[in-house]
Amino acid sequence: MLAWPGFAVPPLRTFLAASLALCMASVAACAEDPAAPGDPDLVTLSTPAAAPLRRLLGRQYTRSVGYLLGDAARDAADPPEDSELNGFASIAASQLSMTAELVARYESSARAVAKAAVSDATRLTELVDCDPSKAGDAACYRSFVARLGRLAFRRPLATVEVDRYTNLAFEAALVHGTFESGLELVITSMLQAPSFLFQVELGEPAPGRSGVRALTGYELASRLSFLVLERTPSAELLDAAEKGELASPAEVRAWADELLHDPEARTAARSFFTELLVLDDLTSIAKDPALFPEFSPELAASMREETLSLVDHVLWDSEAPLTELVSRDTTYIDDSLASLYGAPEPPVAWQETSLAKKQGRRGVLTHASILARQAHAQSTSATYRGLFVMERFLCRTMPPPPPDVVTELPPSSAAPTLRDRLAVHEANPVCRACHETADTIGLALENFDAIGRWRKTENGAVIDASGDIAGLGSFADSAELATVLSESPELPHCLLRQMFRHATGHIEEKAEMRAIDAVFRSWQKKGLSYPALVRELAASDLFRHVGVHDGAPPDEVSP
Amino acid sequence: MSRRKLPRELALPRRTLLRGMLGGTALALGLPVLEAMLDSHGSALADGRALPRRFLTWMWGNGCRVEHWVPKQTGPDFELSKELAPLAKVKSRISVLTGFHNKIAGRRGHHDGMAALFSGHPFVELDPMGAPYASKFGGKSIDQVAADLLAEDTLYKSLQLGVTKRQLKNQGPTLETMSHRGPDQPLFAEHDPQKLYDKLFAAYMPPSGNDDPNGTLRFRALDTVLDDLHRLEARVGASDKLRLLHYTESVFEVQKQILAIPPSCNVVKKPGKLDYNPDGSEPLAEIHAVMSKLVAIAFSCDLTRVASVMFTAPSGGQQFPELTPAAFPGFPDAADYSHADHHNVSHVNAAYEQTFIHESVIRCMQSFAVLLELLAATPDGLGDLLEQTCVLAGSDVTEGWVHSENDFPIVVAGGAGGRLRQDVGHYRSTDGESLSNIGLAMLRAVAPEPALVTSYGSDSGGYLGYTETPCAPLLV
Repeated sequence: MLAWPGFAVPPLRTFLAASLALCMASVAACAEDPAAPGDPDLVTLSTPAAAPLRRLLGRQYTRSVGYLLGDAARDAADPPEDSELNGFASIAASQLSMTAELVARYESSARAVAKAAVSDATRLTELVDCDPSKAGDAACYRSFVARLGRLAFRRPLATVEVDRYTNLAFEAALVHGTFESGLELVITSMLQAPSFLFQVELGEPAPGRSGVRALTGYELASRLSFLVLERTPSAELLDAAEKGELASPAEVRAWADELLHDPEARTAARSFFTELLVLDDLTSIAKDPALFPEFSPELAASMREETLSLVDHVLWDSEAPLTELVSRDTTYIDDSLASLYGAPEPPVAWQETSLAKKQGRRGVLTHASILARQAHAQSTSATYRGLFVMERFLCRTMPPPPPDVVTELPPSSAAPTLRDRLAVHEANPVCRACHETADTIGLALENFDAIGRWRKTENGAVIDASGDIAGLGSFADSAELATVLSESPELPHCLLRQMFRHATGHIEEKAEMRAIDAVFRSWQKKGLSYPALVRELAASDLFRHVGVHDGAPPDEVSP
Repeated sequence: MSRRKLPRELALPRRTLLRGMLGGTALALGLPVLEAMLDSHGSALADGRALPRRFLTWMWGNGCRVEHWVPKQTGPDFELSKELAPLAKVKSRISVLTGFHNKIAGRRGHHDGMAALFSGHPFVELDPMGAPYASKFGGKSIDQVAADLLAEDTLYKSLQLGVTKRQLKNQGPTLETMSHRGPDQPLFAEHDPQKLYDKLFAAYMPPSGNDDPNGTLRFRALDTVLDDLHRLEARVGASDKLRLLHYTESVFEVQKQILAIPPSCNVVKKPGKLDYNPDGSEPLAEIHAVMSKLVAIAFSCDLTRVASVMFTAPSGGQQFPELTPAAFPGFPDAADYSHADHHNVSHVNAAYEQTFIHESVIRCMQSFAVLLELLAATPDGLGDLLEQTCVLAGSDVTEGWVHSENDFPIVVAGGAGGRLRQDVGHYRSTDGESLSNIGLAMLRAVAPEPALVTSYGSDSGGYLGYTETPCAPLLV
């Protein structure tokens, strides 16, 4: 898959062994060209996929509105809900188009934002830097249009665009008789424009390379800012783009580092991990109140906070390896989680706490949030939990059950533990081929019930949480599973792929894998921390380039 | 691609007027529905056109129990089966169709059924590189084909309503909604009856303050969106061009909505808030009853002619809190599934669990009956709304526990303005006829002229959804 002589660092060899095991399990998935380029230096040069127009995610829209027009405007923003494809909203945003419903929603949101923005004089004064009574309405409108337009569209406006928005401002001013009404309509209009709502990543010719285009400075600034801060780039970053200061990997790495120091980077990272760990809808999932009377939206919110607190600390406290998300033996709880976990109430909520060793709680996979979300309303699901780990942490998937397969499991009277009931998957080769890995992982988490409470037995029988996964290793319980997973290079390699998918709005293509492996090696050398991941990904050739679309015009029409 | 500019005067519906022409004066409310538009006989519109036909799709998730669904007799004198019994009051207005085959089945349970029943196009799988599975529809859903045939005059091209919110959202649009303009345009359902109300009646409310009462400036703002789209279109590749074309069409549609004056209509009271119950379940029947009323009004006022209703979801986790063990006296040791996820229970092939599923299907049919009875009770011209409507109802699998995909439970209702036979009763196809034939018959029934619809669905990758043969017994 990715072997070329003398190039793999030792941990990667382990990963390759794991990949090989995967290949044997799924030959078709691995039928790709194993040829490597002769010159190792070329390995970092990528063959990127073309980037489709990508609609801003709801949170990117709202944060951008806040940056552009202030807090009151941000609070008035009401973008449509995101859809999801292949695990990420950004992939849906790259594939789906607008509908009348969406256009109408953006229209009403833009009007509400504009109304709030013109009533917030502080922010407006920063954007309107002239006095219409002295400079004249036209000059003031023009400078406002150019200034807001550059920030909102992440590029300078062409003269014809400035003209058009200025004329629009006059139309409103004529109807309503106020200068502000012109500003309001310009805001309304710009916030509905595709140049605001879509990330446009068409690139410019990359010297000496065919089939590859370099993102322009402005496009790169947008891609970087929407990834790290989940909003439109700052005026300073756009200035740097304009001056050509995002041309080299070192410059991009330095800017990535700059953005990582912005407090908004933490909020953005929380959003990314909320999505990756499927915690968005945790507070509205169903649990049987007769079986789990303590479950409530409030408890679910605490569950999510535990996981995001761990994310915060792993990401930002010590720049720890991201694998610690899965292996940390301490966590962060409040009183309600202490009660759920049978732990003493913490003196202060969300302080670092150690839990009883016998429960085998290590890392996010043993958090009530994920355990509850990846379970049924009444019972656990080894398949949900196992598939979650496979898809989200190992980037492995599972084919669908064959048509007309009977998915019946024996009753618990005959088979007390889930392991006993799932023995049918084990016994039936049709089931086993796909269920083996998922069930083995999921059964290691069977000491936690459908809302994440610890239990030693199920229906009176002692739970056996041990297992062995080809390519990963064997484990006796959930804690050892966490260790095995966190020591496998497959896990951070997958986390890199997940971030890449989110950042670019597509699933990595085979032609991109070599370049992803190159990013992975440089990230490994830097210690596998989140900031290092962002810096190495952002500075990579793959992040800074795009492919060429079918049917794209041969030469760009000037913007 | 050349600029597709909406020729404004031509594109606006014949019945609608520019608000500006009336100077934004308040609308005349309280007129009997449609009366203002009818001719003196009440059998056609004043301008001589036929009364509008309407199209409705309705679904419940996770199938039925075939033994309790399929009626024992065929023909008009069939006896309603246990699961169809709730439809007794509208029995003479429905046809039960059994024995049809899903010719695009075989890839993924639930996805197969959604695509076959509601589009006839093999769905598009997105399963690359170890990422989670997802799929999109392969083409327009049947309600959107109908909308293109019926809706040019109405304020809204179609409505999408969803009752349960406990639906799978991680397998792509195929399982999320019944309505798709195409693979890149899933139309997601409104789940909040209050928001549905606001959408339907916003145009009837007096504009607040000095906020652009004629919509002229809103229209102009969208014109700049079109300018921006046009500039972008020149720079992108083929697939993005198509997405931008769909974007452009969507902007045109909203511009039309902004300037159109909706027809006269009885504005009803806003419904109360309906959301999750305190126990985490949902008041499915109540939400559905309110939405049914709003659909009947929207049809009656001609705000739209097309709607889709997802009552419960494919592979969904809806709950039936009234189905406690007390509802199953025959099972003294019954487990309590009143707060279980429906899809999970549907997969257990044991007598009690399947009886639970059977009872849940009856609950779904009770709600479906509420909607049909309401349409039958709403006057429309000289008859009633159901007479003018073409209804297609079904589920995403035949029996949930095996994901079986032939012999789907299907009910067709209404008269489609005299085109759809209502004396068929139970029709059982015995020669492996394609589900798509039903869709084609429905579209021919509802189209302004049947000859406008010659085929339905498509073939792709060995999955055969295409047909030119309508299910003839349904058509007058």
